Amino acid sequence: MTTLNKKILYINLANQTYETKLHDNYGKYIGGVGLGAKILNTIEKSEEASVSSEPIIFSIGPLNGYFPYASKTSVLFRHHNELKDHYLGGNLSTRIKFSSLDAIVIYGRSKEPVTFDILDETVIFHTGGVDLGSLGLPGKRSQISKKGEKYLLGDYFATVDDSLSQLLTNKNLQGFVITGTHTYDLPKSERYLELYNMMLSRIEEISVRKSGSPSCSGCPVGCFESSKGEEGGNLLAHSLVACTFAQKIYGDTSIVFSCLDVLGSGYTHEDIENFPKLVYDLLEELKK
Amino acid sequence: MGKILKATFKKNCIGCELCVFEVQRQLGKIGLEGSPIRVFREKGEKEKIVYTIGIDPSVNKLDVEKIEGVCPTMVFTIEDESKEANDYIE
Ligand code: SF4
Repeated sequence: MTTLNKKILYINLANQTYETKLHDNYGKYIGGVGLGAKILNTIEKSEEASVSSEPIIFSIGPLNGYFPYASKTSVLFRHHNELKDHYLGGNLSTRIKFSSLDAIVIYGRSKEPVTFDILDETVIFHTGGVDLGSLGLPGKRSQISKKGEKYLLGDYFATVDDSLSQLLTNKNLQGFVITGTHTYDLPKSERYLELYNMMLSRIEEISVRKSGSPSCSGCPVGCFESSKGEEGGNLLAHSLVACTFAQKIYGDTSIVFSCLDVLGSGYTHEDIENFPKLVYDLLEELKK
Repeated sequence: MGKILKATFKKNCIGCELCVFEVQRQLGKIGLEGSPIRVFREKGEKEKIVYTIGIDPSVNKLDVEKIEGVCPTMVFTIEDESKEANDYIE
């Protein structure tokens, strides 16, 4: 497996069309906030960019679905021109992964209330009211929908503030469902299972307490904080996309390198070491 | 004697899907498709999130102890096949 190519699904709400593109030059941005920043930068520099397109970029990283605590989805967007990097819990990250996608970009504004249903790389748009609960495949789906003024994932997981909800409302997007049915071969190296079990056994290093609350996909903790979402923080962890509370594990570049290496991702030690500055600089450029 | 995996304490489930990923690893894959264990969000429960666990009997050909052990909230128990049969007769 190589994670250097990035597959991105672009969804245009204005004319209810979509396309999937494979980018072979986004690899060094790894995923999550790094990949999101590169996508946003490219869109904003492109000739077709218009203010009304207001892209929202949901992106995951190479470790989602493969390792514990890599359980978040990065959501990058502008709100009143301010750059926002939010991180959403729940099961969205694994559904994007098992759709064989690295990111979903939602842009444009629909004239009428709309929802859509993603099955792997196929998108079906619905207008005129549809029960989101009836879409997608049970046990393999994830749903974002509006509850009052807020958009929640699975009726529970939120972002840190209302900015994403406001943007989705402005887009006339009522919600969406994504189902992922792809499977990947288990990495051949025995080291994969060793690493997986070693990380799982380090649960005491997760800086949040168990509370029996709904957990994110791939996280055994079940903390109360998962429902609140995250903003900002460690750029490497948020490009993988791991949970902030697992920073003792995913803030360690040697562990990150081992995980990426065992997946045959093609990154070097230098790529990982140089990565935070690369993304920091790009985010600073986007903030100007 | 055969072993049977049961989701005896499903009310403890936090929806982490570690059991699904463990089963899939034992089947040599990463993903959700074709898993003998599925975790569903129970419909109609608006106040509290409640999960249901669907178990296909084919799971009992796998290492059920390992599946039981990976669950952080001890949802699963393992029963002997014969006890299961007796329970049925009762
Ligand atoms: S591992 Fe346990 S808590 Fe997690 S989804 Fe499976 S049954 Fe539920």
